[in-house]
Amino acid sequence: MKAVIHCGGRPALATMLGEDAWPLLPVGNRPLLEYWFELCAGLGIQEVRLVLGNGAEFIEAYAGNGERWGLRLSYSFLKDEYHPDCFLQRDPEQWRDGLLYVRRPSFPRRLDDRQAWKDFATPAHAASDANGLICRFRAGPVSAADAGRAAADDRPFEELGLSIVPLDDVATYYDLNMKLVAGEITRYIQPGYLARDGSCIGYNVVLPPSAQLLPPLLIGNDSRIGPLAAVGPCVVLGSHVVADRQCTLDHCVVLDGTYIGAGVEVRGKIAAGARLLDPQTGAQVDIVDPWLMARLGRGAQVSDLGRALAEWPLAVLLVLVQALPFLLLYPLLRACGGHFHHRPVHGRRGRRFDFPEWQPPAAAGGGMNFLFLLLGLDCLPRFLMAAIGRVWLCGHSPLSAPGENKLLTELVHYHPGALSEADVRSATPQSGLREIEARYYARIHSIAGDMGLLLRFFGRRMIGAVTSAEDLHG
Amino acid sequence: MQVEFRNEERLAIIQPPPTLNAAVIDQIREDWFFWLQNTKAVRNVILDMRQVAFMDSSGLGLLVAFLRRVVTRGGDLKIVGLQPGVRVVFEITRAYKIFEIFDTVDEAAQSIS
Repeated sequence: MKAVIHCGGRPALATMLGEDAWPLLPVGNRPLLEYWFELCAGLGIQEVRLVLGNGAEFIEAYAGNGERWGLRLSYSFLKDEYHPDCFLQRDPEQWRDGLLYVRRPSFPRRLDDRQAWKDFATPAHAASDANGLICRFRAGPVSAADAGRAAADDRPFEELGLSIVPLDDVATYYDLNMKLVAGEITRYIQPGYLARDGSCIGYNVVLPPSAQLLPPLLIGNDSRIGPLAAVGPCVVLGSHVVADRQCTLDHCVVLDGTYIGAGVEVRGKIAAGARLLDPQTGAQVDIVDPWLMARLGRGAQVSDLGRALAEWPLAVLLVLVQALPFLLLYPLLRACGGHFHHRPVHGRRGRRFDFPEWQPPAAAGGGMNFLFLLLGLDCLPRFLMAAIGRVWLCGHSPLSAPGENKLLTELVHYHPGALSEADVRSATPQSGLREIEARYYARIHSIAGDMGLLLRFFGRRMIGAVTSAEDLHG
Repeated sequence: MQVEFRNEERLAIIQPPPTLNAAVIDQIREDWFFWLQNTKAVRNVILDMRQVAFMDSSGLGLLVAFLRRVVTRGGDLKIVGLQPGVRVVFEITRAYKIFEIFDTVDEAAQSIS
């Protein structure tokens, strides 16, 4: 039996609560996805496939290979424009031994303290609402036709001691969190969490002695509470939350990565970054003053620091090495009509600048242009851009401004580079290849990969030169 | 600056502009303080915030400074008709503990008399 969790799309709840993908929204003090993983493990399901879309890299970084839950996780990608059921219908043979399918943001609420369902007798369960199937569990074969809908012989989840709670609005989300903090969290509690007196506090939480904690409350991992802060009762703090000194949190839910400023008071609300939501009315207010409330930056990743340390000296070195031959050859090529065309692009930290692209001379200067390209001198101005910090040495092919603004907003990580896959590609790019490369690089990149790209670039230039020379002799 | 007077010009009702943020606050502060200095008869002030759709912490800072000026000369400052977005700023900064907030101008005027 397998499980498929569709993690993509931008459901209304996730849109209201900020930028996080819905599986990572905190419920209690843990991401929603974790509850589904625990349910899978409890049902004896080992193979879980996550169908990713928005926020894919964060979900991958969080879930890894699933070892923590005793699961074998695999990942697939599905564009947002496709219906989630397309994935199931592609190869129904895979689900012949049964399927747990989670299609929308929902929570597997346990109705009692039952921990294992391995002896379940009923073959199929489904939960639906007016908008269609939320979640489905079927021990028998699943055909392509009924992959995404409840079948006549489906049985309710209540028989498994579960109630599937669809999370469509902030009111339901808030109520669910309040139920958990009021005591239901003990149905899900894991070793490593303390549940005495109704307080569950995660790992690496800094609590000064002067901070006042009023149970019941749930605090995730890696959070920091300031001196004289009053937290509780009925407070759910996600992970990576900073509640600054003298703040008061009461009957509220604070999402992951939120900063609550000094002296700020949040009562009966959901705090999601700089956004405050009233669960009763659904009203939302964006706080513009970052010292009151803010979304904590994901910050420069360690890999970015390593990248800067490794690539910046290399960029400077390349500029120094190429400067003299460039100064000798470029004026001659310029006289023959060669020049740099400047394309407005998005650089690092959202800055725009003109990216230089070499336009060879039309006819004359073929030999000089050949040498110019052989030495990679056409890239010297780009290396200079990398040396002064406008782009990385290797990365995305810089996205045009404003032509590719939409793609830019869709990439969670954008690392514009002086060199990119486009520079080591031989054939004319197919339609959409540029976008695929951009999305791929946003998810999978490393310093080693960047160094490989640099070597491939100069290697290709050398091979290209040899090939051209052979063509000339032939 | 829109001001309405009541009670033989001892009560002033001010309607602030729709936005109270850092971009406009210096000018508003100058106008309000100049007006206060030149209207000796006014003791109490009601800020009719029904038109104010947006306010940040600089706007709140102005209100606190204005409250201090009014109280120093023996009067009081009441606030009326907060929009939800502005009310949140009052709530999270605990400014509701400093100001008296009413739903209508009449309620605020009654509390003064």
